Amino acid sequence: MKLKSLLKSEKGFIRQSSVILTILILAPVISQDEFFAVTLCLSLVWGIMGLGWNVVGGYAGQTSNGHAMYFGIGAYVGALGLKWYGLSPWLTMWIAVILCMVVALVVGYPLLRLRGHYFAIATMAIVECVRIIFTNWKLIGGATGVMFYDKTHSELYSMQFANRISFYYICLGFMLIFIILSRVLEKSKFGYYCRAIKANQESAESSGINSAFYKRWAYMISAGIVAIGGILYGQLFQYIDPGSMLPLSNSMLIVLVVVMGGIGTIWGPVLGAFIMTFINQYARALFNQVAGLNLFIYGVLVVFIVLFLPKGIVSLFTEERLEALRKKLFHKKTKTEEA
Amino acid sequence: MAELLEIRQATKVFGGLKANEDISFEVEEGTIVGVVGPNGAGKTTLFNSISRAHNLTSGQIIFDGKDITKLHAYQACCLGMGRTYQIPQALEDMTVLDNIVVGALLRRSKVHEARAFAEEISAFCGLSEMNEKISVSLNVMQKKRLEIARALAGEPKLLLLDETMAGLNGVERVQAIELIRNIKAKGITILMIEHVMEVIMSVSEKVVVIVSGKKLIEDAPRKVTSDPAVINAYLGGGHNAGC
Repeated sequence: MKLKSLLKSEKGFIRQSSVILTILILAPVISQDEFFAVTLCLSLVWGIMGLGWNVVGGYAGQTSNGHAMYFGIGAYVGALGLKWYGLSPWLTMWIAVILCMVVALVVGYPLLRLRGHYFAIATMAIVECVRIIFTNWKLIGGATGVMFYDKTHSELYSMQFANRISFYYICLGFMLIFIILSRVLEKSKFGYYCRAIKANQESAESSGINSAFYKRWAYMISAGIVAIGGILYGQLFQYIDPGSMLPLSNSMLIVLVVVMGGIGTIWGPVLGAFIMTFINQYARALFNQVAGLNLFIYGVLVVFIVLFLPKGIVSLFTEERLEALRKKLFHKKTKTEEA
Repeated sequence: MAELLEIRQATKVFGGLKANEDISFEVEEGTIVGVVGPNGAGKTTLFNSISRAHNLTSGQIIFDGKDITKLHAYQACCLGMGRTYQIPQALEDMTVLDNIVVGALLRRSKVHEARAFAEEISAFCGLSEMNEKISVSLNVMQKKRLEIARALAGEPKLLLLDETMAGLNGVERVQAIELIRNIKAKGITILMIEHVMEVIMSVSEKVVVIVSGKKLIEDAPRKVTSDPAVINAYLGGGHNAGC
């Protein structure tokens, strides 16, 4: 009975999810190209990180510019666990999540007292520190990074697949988990409180909300999700180094994925991640003679989206438009049936 | 009747400015107490100290038998103190009902229960027609009602109202007075800052007059308005020379 009423109240969400999931499940059919498959996997990884950032940045309104830190820590835990101890990423991901949440607790404790720009700058500074530490830390490979291509275990154990499509479906599984998690958070007391803090922290406090507590949890959950993104990224390329994991641009890309797609929404980060990754990858491949042109194209697009669609691309798909589209499709179907 | 709120020698200093100096008074359970005073007298500062938005420099605040002088704002709210702001601070990107739900979640952790209660409160405050409106789109009176609704949804024992009547026209004022009477009928004690004397006179049992950060007098409304010291504070020294 309870399940029934839940299904009923979540009808719209379930409908949206099933459409989008069907598209995502069928996506690898489009092309057998290796490059295309890698791009799809990457899109999902960025989507997962976007969903993670969205918890603290979208719902709780704390613009963290330092989420590359959790991305990096996650990837390193996965990589070193496999290389040194032969541990499966399926196991190390739990360690990574817990570790990132602990780091987030420690870092968040003082940092979340800051507001607005100050918080953004402080998080940025922390991730730079971490990058410099990782670059100079000989034990974990220093600036040369870690190669951890694994031949001794089965593909499923090491999460390193010769066939990218299998990996794609694993990523899709994780993304589905985080989409559902986001939805649960959004509809819970936690979600309401986060949005209240985002809207007006003073009001929230005077309505009985312990804003420090809720911000801290949002930050920790967010760090945990991004850690999983880091693990998946590592297993996709089997090579990581501080220069590609922890630069400022990664932190910014996580933010941009969400802002582009639609901040504080569930489908925004997913949509933003696909658009961002495809543009990035294909622009890089097409204009490989001009270094950095991909970023230029991407930058221009971001400017236009922020100017004309401040609520993200997802704001194009309003309820009314979706309804009209549904009617159109449905109408056509009935016509063909009549014929 | 027992005292619900007791303020003992509250002093608040901002830099070199004494915004509140040695203010003491009590609010008895089930009454409406008004706080009046000229602009800049330190009424809102006192409110912020009571609702724990900032710390007192010295003095004590006893609420419902507990010393809340050092507590955080959210803790004071959990103990049963609701407040509204002079400039309405709605949760802007959220709908009216969601605003009230946020308040209601304080005592009800299940969202659907909080929603049902929020709908009741919304109807009580005359907001049911705009439940699905985004709160930014409301006018001033509606925003003030929304603030009251959000505070009420937390089921407070004491409600602090900061100038809920300012900027309202006559009809709206009558409705607002009615709302305040209804809140009192629910058994909620009210401490209100108000400039509109008509309102204070008609609803409150006791008035505290604050002038230049100090408590001038505390008495029944009729007596306060005829007190020469009060008239002097509002109209200046020369006018009541003959009184």
